[in-house]
Amino acid sequence: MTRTPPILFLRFFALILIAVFLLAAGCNKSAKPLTLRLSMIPNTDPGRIVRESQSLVSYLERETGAKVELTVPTNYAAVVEAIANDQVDIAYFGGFTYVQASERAGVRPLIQRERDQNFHSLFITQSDSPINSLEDLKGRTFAFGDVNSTSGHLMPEYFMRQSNVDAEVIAKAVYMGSHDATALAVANKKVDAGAMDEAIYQRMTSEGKLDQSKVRVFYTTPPFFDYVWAARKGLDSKLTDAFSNAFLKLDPENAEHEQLLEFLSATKYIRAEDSDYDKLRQAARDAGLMK
Amino acid sequence: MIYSLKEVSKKYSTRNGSVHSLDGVTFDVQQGERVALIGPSGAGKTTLFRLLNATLRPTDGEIRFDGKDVGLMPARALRAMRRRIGTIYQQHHLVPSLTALENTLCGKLGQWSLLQTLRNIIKPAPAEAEQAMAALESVGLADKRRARADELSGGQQQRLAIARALMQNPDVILADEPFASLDPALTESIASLLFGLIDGGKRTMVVTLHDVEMAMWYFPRIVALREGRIVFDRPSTQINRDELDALYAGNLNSTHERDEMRSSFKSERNCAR
Amino acid sequence: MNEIARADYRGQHRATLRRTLIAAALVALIIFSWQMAEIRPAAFFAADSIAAVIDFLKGLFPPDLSTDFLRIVFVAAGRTVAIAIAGTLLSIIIGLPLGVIATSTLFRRGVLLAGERRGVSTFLLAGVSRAARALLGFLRAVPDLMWGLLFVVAVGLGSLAGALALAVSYAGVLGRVYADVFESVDARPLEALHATGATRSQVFVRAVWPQSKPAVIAYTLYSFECCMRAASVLGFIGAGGIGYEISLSMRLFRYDQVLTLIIAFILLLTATDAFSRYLRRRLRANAPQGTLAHERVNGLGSVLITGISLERVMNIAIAITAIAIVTGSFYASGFFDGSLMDATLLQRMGRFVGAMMPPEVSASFLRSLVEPLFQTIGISVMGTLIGMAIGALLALPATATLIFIEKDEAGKRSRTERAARRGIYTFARTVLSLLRSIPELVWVLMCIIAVGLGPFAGAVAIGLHTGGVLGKLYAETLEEAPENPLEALRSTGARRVQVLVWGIWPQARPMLVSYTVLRWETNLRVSTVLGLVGGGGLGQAIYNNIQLGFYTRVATLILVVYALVVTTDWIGDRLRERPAS
Repeated sequence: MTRTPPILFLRFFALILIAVFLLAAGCNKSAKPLTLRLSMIPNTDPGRIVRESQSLVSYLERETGAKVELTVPTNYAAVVEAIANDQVDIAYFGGFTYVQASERAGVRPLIQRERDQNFHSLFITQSDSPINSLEDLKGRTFAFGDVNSTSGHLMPEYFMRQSNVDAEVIAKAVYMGSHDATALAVANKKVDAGAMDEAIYQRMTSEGKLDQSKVRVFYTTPPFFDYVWAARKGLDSKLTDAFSNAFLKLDPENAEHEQLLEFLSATKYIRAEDSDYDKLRQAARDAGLMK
Repeated sequence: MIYSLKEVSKKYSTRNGSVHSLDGVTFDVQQGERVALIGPSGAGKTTLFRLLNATLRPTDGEIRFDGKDVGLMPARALRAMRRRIGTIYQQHHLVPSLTALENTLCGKLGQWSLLQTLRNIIKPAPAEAEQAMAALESVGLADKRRARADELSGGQQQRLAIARALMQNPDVILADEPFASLDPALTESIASLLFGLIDGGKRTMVVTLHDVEMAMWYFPRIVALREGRIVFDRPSTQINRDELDALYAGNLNSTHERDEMRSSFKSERNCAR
Repeated sequence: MNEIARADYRGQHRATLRRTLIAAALVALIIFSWQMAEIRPAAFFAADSIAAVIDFLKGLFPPDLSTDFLRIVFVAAGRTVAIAIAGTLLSIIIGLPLGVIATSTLFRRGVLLAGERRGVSTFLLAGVSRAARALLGFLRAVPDLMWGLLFVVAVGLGSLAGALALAVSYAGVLGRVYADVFESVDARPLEALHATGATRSQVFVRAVWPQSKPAVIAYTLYSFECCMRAASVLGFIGAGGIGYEISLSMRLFRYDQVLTLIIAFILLLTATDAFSRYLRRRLRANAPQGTLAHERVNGLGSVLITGISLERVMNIAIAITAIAIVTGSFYASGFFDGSLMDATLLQRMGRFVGAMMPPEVSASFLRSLVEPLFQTIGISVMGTLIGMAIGALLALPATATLIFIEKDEAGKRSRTERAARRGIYTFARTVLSLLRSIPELVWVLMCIIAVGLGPFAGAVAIGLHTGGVLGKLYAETLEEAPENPLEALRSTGARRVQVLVWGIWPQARPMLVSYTVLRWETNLRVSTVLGLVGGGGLGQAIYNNIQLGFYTRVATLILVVYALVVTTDWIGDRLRERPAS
């Protein structure tokens, strides 16, 4: 019988595993302080949120008295699943994902930006493009954002259908995955036109990431309800209240608050109501995006 | 004068320092001559052979081919020189996955343009194919033209290698141990084929042989090598038994050992690489 | 002669007909793939594309080396390593038992069963064994990224999902390899042990395991390397690590950070390669020495006490380090957040699987799959073709035997020519390794910048990566073509190109074809997941349906991918059996 070499053999392997699982079991028992697990859906710039969110986290920790853990997924469905599985306490949803989460997990709406009650999608095209209205889209290539996005897909598609835009345009549209990608695809002439979030459009143009000489807006949708912070079913109301109040009292006059509001692309926060999203629900069902 | 070698040496560096495979070899070969290189295994025959067909460069000394220094030849001239030398290797060195016909065509490779090269691998030009068929026919392999080289027997492969050289239509024919690994009957037929190549003295032929009897029988001039040096270089009629015994002394005294040497030949080649 | 000529003609005719048919089928496939993959070469040369690419390239330099960012890179790299280690270990835990059960010589046929009565239990065991093999095949056929996406949704974002995805995916790979290794051991010791009345587990431990251990270890190490590569990419779909940071930086337009991350990624892979090569060498060196030391200890007893204790100390040190690394990996992968022992984890996964049942088979949905399915096939074919072209083009200057003048080559030598040749060779090899080391998913992100979202970007991305892989394999194959015939061709005065066409190509062709077909099989898997980041095909459909919560459709899509991969493997096996045609 050959002797086993000193590394990587069965017994040794078993030993390591036992050690690891004992440790795992031990760690599990340790009590945790009160934590509030937040998740921000990346409808806005996810990279920025993940790498610049420290001030928001510390503000919320101070206001709620809980330890705040913020995760920024790059995946909408994961957040819906997570809040349904009680892995996340409060999440920032787009209008459509909120509707999905409320159907699947019974989440409660808390607060939203004032502008979220009066939100628009922008239809953009190149400056020198002959497209000037929704009718002109016939025969053109078109880009949506993520399939789950309210202002990047659901509502633009809804209004396109309402205006009887050629069904081929919608069927052949590409999903860019994010609003910024849509903006760039249009600016670089990869598609003829696209629909995107107005707030992100404004931010990209003001920060110079989108060259205004290259793109122009040719249609703005009627207003709809969009982004909202919502809490999972069964979350302690003391926590949700503290959370809501922290946002409601944000005041642009206060220097620290102003910075946070700027980070959140907001001016003022107000309470949100579930019934405001009924129209959106209907639009999702009509488009076959929700069962 | 077709070949002129002056003080040619070839050293190989091995793990135990450098080994002289050839050490100060000097001799000439005239147009139309038939020369056999003989000597015990390890004498440097194969090295010399590879120097002669310009696939190896000497460590020292000068080799002239048709008056021109091989060491100073640019690539184009070198190819032109090789085109004039037909080589028949001991291991035949055929391309195993090509057919006999294609292997024969390879002899013409050096004379083709790039376009012809590409064209002929897909479907040989009729004139070329005819010529190759004639070469195959003359070695008796016409019916095997579609067989892959690796499907042929040892004797057939040797004949195919000769056909390739025939196709090349060279001025000089080099053959490395053309009769090793052949049984006596085959040796006869291959020998007559090979010497038919000389074409009545128009072509020069240099052959390495370990079989002294054959060398004495077929070749007017014998160059004997031992340990990288020329021991003697003279007409075969002027060679006596004692000299031959001295040449192989300590190496072989009996035919039995001579046979052994045949099998050890391969290892000599491997060392030479 | 006449007879021969006629037979010859007939044979030739049949061969020509066959060739024509194959060529026609290939041309049809390429045209079809060209259209499905929406190939638009002009898109590359449009002014805007060029401007976008130049912007991107300019943005890459100089790489972001600020301490803040390097810290992010470091943490991400650490997490990637942790995911890979945890994933590999878990894949062994799952794969080994499944592999043993799937071993046909233990449970289905061969010496152990030859003399046994065919009872209900044998029948059952054979069934279980067969099922284990099928399960392994399934785990393996679904691409790792797809598992990643499923786990991200099922257990939440982050490293845990990544580690579990690797565990499941590579359990399939390892289990299958283990079973193959176990099956290929020498059967005589098995028979001998069986004859003494040993149980199956005894036979396995005493006869099968000792014989297969070296191969098992070698494959496991190799799988670890693959896991490291996969762990880096899993981040793209939200499973943490370097890939995640790359996708974030891309979205932030911080291309300088992208470059830093790609460099880090390449360094990480190089280090992994070096580490596993070191381990392999150590294991090889150790096996005989270990035996020797052992015997000496037994024989000479106390004489070598110092030797023993040193060995012991070394072993203990290695053990402690290994435990620390492994524990750290599991910790960093999020196993100790209470989630591993968390009963709800299984419950959650169960609920997720439940939500996928039954797979949706409505006619309208199935019809909607036809296009993405063809698109996926088209992307894989076009990607492989582009890769072949790039690979072939770069392989020639990267083939040492073609490009270098041999040291012993006769003739005049020019120093500048030698330097130029070395330069060309080095350049080609460098480009190849660059193409190869950047994963397809990163290439997709870059291609989207150049040609826009869609299958074309996917095909080009696959082509670039495949070009790097195939170029290296081609060059190595060409280099390994037996030298003797080449020397003979050279001696006729043939040029290098002529030696290549008449000597190297005929000898290397079967291997070249085989490598290309194998790569196509891999590319098909890749093209099913490219859609996850915007490369078109089935991946896009899977992503969208997961996003929308249509899990029953996702189940159908996974089955489609499974069927597609199995079919491709089958076709690939057939193609490789007869590469000569």
